[in-house]
Amino acid sequence: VPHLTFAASLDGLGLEVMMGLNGQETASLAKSGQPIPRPIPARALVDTATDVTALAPRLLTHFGCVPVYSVPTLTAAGSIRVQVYAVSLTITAQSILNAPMLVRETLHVTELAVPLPDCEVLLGQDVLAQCLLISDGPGKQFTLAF
Amino acid sequence: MIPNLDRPTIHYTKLSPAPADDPAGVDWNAYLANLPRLLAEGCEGKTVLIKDGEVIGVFDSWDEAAGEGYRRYPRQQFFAKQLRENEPLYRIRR
Repeated sequence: VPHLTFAASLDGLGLEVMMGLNGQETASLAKSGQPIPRPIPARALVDTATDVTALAPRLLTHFGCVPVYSVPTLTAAGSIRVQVYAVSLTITAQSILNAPMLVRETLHVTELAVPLPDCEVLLGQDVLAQCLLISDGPGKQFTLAF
Repeated sequence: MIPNLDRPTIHYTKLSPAPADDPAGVDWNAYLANLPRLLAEGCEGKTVLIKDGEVIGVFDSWDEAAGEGYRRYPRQQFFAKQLRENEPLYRIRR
């Protein structure tokens, strides 16, 4: 099974991901000859208590993302409707030659409401549901298999 | 779409319309207004494309609806949402 192992950090299960425009928008821009923003790296934290992956506003602004629909959600403060954006996500290990890659050409995300230090992406159950996640606490590392 | 995570659901009749001062709420309100008719026409599970409060079309998948949205309205806001009688209540961080 393809898998990646990352070092755990003090702030949790952190890793670097690549964020970009979603597949449909990329294809549309390419067809009309418009420039396509390149994917950019961002630091992510695994968050098993979040169903929908959330991105910092900076990333959404960088790609000029606009909401594509909204959904009702449950939060600690009650039920609210939030905007959903469509992006692409790639998880890999940049430092390893031919490392396996988990690619989601279109991933529906929300905007991170509260800024987090050193973290611009909260990886939620929408991504984790595709993976086997093994956390090795004593070894200070974790593995994502997909 | 956001994957089905077996979360609790809310019936569409219990969803609240967006307030009048919510600029992004026009399309949500159009979605709610058209949902009963589209469900009655057997469109559950399909995706409706809405722009500025007007239904542009109903598509078999979100990818198809969004593809049409990006083609017609490049770099603009549109609304492409799966039609559901029971809407999942996702947990998010706030």
